Amino acid sequence: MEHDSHDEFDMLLAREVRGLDREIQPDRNLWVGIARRIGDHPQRRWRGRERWLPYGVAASLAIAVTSLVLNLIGVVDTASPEQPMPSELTASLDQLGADHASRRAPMLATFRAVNASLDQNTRDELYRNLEIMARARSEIEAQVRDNPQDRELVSSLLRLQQWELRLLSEDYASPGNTL
Amino acid sequence: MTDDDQTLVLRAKDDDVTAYEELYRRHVGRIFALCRRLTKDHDTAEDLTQDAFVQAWRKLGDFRGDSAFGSWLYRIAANIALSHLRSQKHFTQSLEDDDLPAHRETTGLQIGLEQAIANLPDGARTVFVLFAIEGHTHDEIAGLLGIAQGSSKAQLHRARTLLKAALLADDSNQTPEDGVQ
Repeated sequence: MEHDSHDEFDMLLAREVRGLDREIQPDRNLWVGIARRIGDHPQRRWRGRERWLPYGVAASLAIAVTSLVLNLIGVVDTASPEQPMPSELTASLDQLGADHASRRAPMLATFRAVNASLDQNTRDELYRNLEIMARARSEIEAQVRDNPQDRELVSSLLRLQQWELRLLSEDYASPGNTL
Repeated sequence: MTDDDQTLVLRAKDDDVTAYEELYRRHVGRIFALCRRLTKDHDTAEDLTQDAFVQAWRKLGDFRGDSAFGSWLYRIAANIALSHLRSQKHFTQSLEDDDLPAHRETTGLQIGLEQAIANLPDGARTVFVLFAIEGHTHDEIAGLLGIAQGSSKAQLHRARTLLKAALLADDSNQTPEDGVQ
């Protein structure tokens, strides 16, 4: 067999490689050993975790919202005296709110469907925290309207919107879910 | 009606060992082939295959179905096999070694492609198996092995050169002897 070039050999090699068995069976029945070992090492227990995970998430969110509100109180206390809000800023804020609402609505519907299998108490806890976040968002938005020059307030509002959307994108009913 | 992998995974997540056994039967051939080609040792490949299925069982709660179960399992097996290779002293050296060995593979014996691949040095064999047989890119291989893309390409070139020498020697060795007593 003569091979005049690398190309010819590479083509031949590629053809031979394609002809190799994609699967090779082991000689031993490996399942016996696997079955014994998975008996010794059961799957990670997610079910217990499922029960407390949403509460943990809810608690983290509550802490985050509380910190944010406390932070805002400090910010507002030191903010400059109220100034009239320029119309462009009002329009931007309205647009920001509208954009958030249009993203939030379909996500909320998905969130309800995805997490429908959770028990009632857990779902209540999650929705209660969503309400807390929504209320905090409204309050911060009002603060921004009163203090339009305050960048910290605006970034807080954006952060809270992101947290809200992140919470809504989670599937807490799925085993192994982590934040 | 036969259950698809997704259904079997859901059952296995619910501690149905029978469902997991069915998943094992469906995928063991591909996983064992990968382990055997990477390690070139049958017994070691069997042990690594077992490790892969045990680890996959333990991590089944993490599997969310974003990819096919077979692909997820394959990644676990590849990581286990490559970890095993990395634990071998000579493996890392082999990955860095660009020099061709002095035709130790070209013995002129009856060598099939499978055997010729098994006879490659560890670094060249690993890259060749991952690239040519398993379909990974050089970028992916570089990530899996912790080497530069250039090293991956060099090892592939080395593997092809050695395979060519081995297979041509094998081929020429057969022809002249045909019909000779």
